[in-house]
Amino acid sequence: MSNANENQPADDSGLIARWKQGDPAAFDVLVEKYAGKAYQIAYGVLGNKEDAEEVAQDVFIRIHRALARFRGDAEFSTWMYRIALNLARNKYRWNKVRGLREMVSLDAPVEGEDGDSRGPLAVPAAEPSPDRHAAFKELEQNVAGELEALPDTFREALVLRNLEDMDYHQIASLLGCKLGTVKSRIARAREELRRRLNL
Amino acid sequence: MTDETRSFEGCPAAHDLSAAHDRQPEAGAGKTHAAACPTCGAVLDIYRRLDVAVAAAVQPPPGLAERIKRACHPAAPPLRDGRFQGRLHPDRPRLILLPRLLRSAAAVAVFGFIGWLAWDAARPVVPAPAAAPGVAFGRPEALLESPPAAEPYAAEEPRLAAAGPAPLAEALPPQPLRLVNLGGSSLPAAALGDAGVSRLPRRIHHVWVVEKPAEAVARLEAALPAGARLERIPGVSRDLFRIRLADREVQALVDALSRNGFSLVSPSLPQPGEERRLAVTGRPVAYDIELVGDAPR
Repeated sequence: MSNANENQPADDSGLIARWKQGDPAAFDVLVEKYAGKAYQIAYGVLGNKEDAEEVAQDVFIRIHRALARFRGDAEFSTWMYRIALNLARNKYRWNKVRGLREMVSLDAPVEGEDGDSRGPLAVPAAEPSPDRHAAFKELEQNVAGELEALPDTFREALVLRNLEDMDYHQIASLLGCKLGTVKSRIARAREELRRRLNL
Repeated sequence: MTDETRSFEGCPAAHDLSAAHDRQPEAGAGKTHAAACPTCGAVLDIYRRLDVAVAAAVQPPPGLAERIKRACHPAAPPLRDGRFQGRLHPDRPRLILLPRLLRSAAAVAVFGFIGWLAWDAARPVVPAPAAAPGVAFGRPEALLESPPAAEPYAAEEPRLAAAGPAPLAEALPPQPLRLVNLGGSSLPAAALGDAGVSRLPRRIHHVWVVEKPAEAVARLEAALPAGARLERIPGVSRDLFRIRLADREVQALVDALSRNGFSLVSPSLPQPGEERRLAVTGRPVAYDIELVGDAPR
């Protein structure tokens, strides 16, 4: 049976305290708990799996160096999210300078950025699939491809939304933008995926 | 719109429906409408399928945690093939080597920053109107400025304050309040949080990871705004420094350090490139910088 308090911040504090007292295994527990989230945040920014994995690694290398100075002013998860986002954005800028990937323009006009109406919904006609499972596997593969091609700001918000327990307020705080912007970006990411995938 | 799609009047906008799907209070009318509307229900079903597909697409690769652990513990035993594989992609430049590779570009940035500071210091300032009760608000992209707070410096962190050589008010004379958006409307200071904008505390503590702390100190000094100086905080063995400067100068310093290869690991404001989250007043603050080496412990 799993411990109900497993995901509570207090547990992270306990792990950090154990690590500071010389227990290296405590850090490994933090890695197991948060490596996936660091990867997903980085992927949201970069849209590239190899880069995301490299950033996730560097996140924990930095945390390992700085953990002794972590004073607990913020929750460990908040701290980790912030480091992951900063490093991923650094990597993004680095890639941009080196021209490693085709960049989607961040200057492209984004109507309704702060939540204004974008008109009535476009809804596809009902067309049930004969094989839902096979259709979903195909959808999964297509989504993976289209995610990388999404405008960066849209992908960032949508992937963060898919992280556990991240609500719009937390995403807005992490990205440093307004709540309405987050709401609009997530919606536009979904609509863009729908459009590209003909859903 | 294609033939396969239809539009329905009265249905909520996409962002409201999306928020309703996420069960957010910001969904507005979308939440109640979507529960009863079969058309919107079909869209929500698509959103659900997309969520599952997105979650599957961003699943971390297997073995990620193990590889990270090995990278964090250089003394770990080698793998079976006899080679230590601390790097996932050895052919790529490592992120923490970025400063070395960008050193020449960083030097240009530092000189540009110093030039900007000199230009900024020479600009005429506009005195604040005495009756201004709140924050001058204009374009959200710009830095916001509000009257200085009256809270005493030492009251926030008496332990650290005792470590400093002198109270801020004595060490740094207050700068004149400069309004950057004279055409904007005013906003009560109490509304700062609602606008997603915060004021800096009187003391900021940031931990920065750097490649070589000894060299980083020189670069840090070079990045300081005119008139500011670096003080080593006495009584601590770590590379802990204090800089006394106006709060409006901290964001620029953080941005400059970030451009110079310093890696900020503290989550508190100011963060690189996020100046729009700050309201500044020109009041003096203490910015404590702790430099942590990017080498194995």
